[in-house]
Amino acid sequence: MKLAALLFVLALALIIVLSQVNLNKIFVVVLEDGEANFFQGVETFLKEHQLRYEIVRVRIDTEKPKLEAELRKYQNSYAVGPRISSQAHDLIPFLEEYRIFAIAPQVTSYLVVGKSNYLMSLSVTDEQQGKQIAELLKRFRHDRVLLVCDKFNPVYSQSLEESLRKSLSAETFRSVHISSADELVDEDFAHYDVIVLAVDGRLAGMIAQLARTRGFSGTLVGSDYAFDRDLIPSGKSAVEGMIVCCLFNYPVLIEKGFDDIDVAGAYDAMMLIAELLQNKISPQNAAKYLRGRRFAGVTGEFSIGFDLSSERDLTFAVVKNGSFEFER
Amino acid sequence: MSLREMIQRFKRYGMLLVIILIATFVIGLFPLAGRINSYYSTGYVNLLKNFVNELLNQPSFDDLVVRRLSRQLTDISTGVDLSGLLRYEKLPWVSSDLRGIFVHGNSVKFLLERDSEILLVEVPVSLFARTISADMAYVFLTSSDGIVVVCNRLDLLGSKLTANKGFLRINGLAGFVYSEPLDEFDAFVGSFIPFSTYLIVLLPYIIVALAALCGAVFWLNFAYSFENRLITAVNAVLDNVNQSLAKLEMTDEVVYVPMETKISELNRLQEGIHRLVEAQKTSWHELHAMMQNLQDTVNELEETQKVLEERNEQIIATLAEAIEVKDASTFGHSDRVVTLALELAKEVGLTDPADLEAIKFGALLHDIGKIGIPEHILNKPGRLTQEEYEIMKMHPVYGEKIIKKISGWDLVADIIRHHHENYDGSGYPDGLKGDQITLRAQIVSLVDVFCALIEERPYRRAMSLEEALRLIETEMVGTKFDPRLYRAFMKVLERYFRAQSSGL
Repeated sequence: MKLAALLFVLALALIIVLSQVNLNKIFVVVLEDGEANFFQGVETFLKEHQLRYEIVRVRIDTEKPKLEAELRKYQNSYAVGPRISSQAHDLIPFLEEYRIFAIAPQVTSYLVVGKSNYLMSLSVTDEQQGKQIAELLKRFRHDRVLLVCDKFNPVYSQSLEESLRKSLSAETFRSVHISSADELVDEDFAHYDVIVLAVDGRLAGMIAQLARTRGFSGTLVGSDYAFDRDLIPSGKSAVEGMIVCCLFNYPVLIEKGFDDIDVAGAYDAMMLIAELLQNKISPQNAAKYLRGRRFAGVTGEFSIGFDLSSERDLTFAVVKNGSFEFER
Repeated sequence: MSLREMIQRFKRYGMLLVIILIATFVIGLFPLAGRINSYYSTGYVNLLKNFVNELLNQPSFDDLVVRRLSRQLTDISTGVDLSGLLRYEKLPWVSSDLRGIFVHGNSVKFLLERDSEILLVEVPVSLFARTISADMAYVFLTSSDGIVVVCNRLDLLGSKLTANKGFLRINGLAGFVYSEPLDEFDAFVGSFIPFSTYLIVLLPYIIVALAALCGAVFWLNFAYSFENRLITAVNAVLDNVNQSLAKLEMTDEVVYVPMETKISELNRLQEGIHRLVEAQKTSWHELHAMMQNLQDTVNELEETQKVLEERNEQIIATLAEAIEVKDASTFGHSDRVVTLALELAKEVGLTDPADLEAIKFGALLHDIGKIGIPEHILNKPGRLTQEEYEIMKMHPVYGEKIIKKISGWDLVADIIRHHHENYDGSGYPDGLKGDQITLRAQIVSLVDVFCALIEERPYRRAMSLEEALRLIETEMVGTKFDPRLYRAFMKVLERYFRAQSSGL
């Protein structure tokens, strides 16, 4: 009887403790801002491979103290995300402090990638993307270029603009940093041969509509940022013929059954994390382990470079009849 | 009721107490949890409802964007077709798409009917997180397909709820979810109460309940340990007492040493036992001394009795001698009769000490009555006249009269009275015959006659042994003596004289 009572007390105490403590669970943190569906990609990978890691979503578009408090709970873990370079820039101090190794599928700014052993990207850097976009523009002999950047992703905007400026000697090269399509209502789009849209697909589509209704007849070019599932629904017929840079091997991605680039990126990020976990690689040693390794994922084949970016072939897609078509 | 039974009962009551406490604690949790659900669900849901109503009726917040759209969802101010980004089935409508259109980041988009146009109210979700203060619970708005589009905590945004009411696990958190339809909209407002909230709210209750339970367990444990100490101490004391008592039955050299226990009552009890044992030892010593005194007294009495018996025998012997002195012809007669009578008694199987003693003194004093016979008759050298003989025949009666006065000598008196009775009834003084004459008297009679014949008398010489036996055998056996007794006597004589001839 005495034993039973003691056991009851112990059980209650244990319940209280367990409710507060995470017992050596392996957490995979999904760093979300509500814009990219990384969670789905991670979940799909775990389901397909019958792995039982705990997935935890952490919103990074919140106040820093709250974000830090959340990340503190998941020290020494792996993360998928963030979505954009500016977020990664803000996150790096936390990742290093709490030893969270994050794999950001599409963070491309060289101002971020390679700056920490706790952040890697599945994409090539903006330097290479800028070069290739510049070469493309040269091929089409476009001299009047308007670069539209996202005001809320300044890190990316800065690195892409620098790369373009370095490789492009256009007659007119103007860049604008906006947060909403409304800010371009008075823009003289007709003045330009080409508009390079370094904003997300939704905003890119709306700007394309705006430009077309304002007399723009030149070429629309989208950076990797614009290559997402919202570009075509948002731009409708205005984005027909638009050339968009794709960081991943889109045909392979489609072949593997993915239509969302964020989901596919998160899937491959989880693939890398699973390998790290299965080989018992700690987040501190993850960078050392991954450098130089080659992988084949749903986003195509890639190898991890010294700066923890991925080396892979860039592709350009053209929007034709409401879908992406690829040409080199 | 024994101590063990009392303890068993105590244990049962203790168990009952703990069970009652646990049951009370568990039962008490349910209404409290219900109150917590009700409080947060109702309160937070109403808070969100009011806030949404305020947003839509009087949109005065800086962060939100209000756009006029055509029925085809084209933005009237810019001409941008938003039909690829927005959709609705009926108005008013809440979009399940979280990505902002005119707002940076995530937003919730309400489509409202305004005359012929549609009003798009786009609210950044951060506004809800900032405005709705609900630390203890999540309050949310779900679209028609169950997607969380508004929440005071961003980490729940985009999650799909599978139930309107019940326990769910969302984004690594387990808790209770409750939702209800939002008026006019095809949407739901609800709350999600994590278990940590229950724990925080119920913490005082849990602490008090655990304290009560721990207190009960502590006191029960204390009582049980006391019980164990008590049983151990009582058993040790009992063993000690029993060992001491066992020794006390065998010897008085016992010292009861009280055991020091942690129970003062037991120590006092042992002190009492110690005093009792000491008192017992004292009593034992006194009793022992009394018994020793009694034994000494008994020994002294036995000595005294011995002396008295010797004196008696000396008196009796003196008395017998006095007779022999009076009757000069019978000197030494009594001693011989005693010796042979006792041998004959043994031969015929008399073993009773009373019989043998009676025969011994009867044989010694059988002629004591001659004291009453005048000396001239007694020592007359010639034959007694008839008159003298009649006087002489009175000596058994006189003898009985003398001896009868001695208490306890009835058998002796009987021998003395009847030692002249004959087997055929021709004897005196009572003329008894056969078995009427006691065997004791017959023995003494036979031996008396035999000894008289072999002794010298004033009126005749002493017969030889053979002459005496021949005379007895021819003239007296069957008339004066029982033939069976005579045959036994013959055996005695044979043995007696054989022993005498061998010098024993």
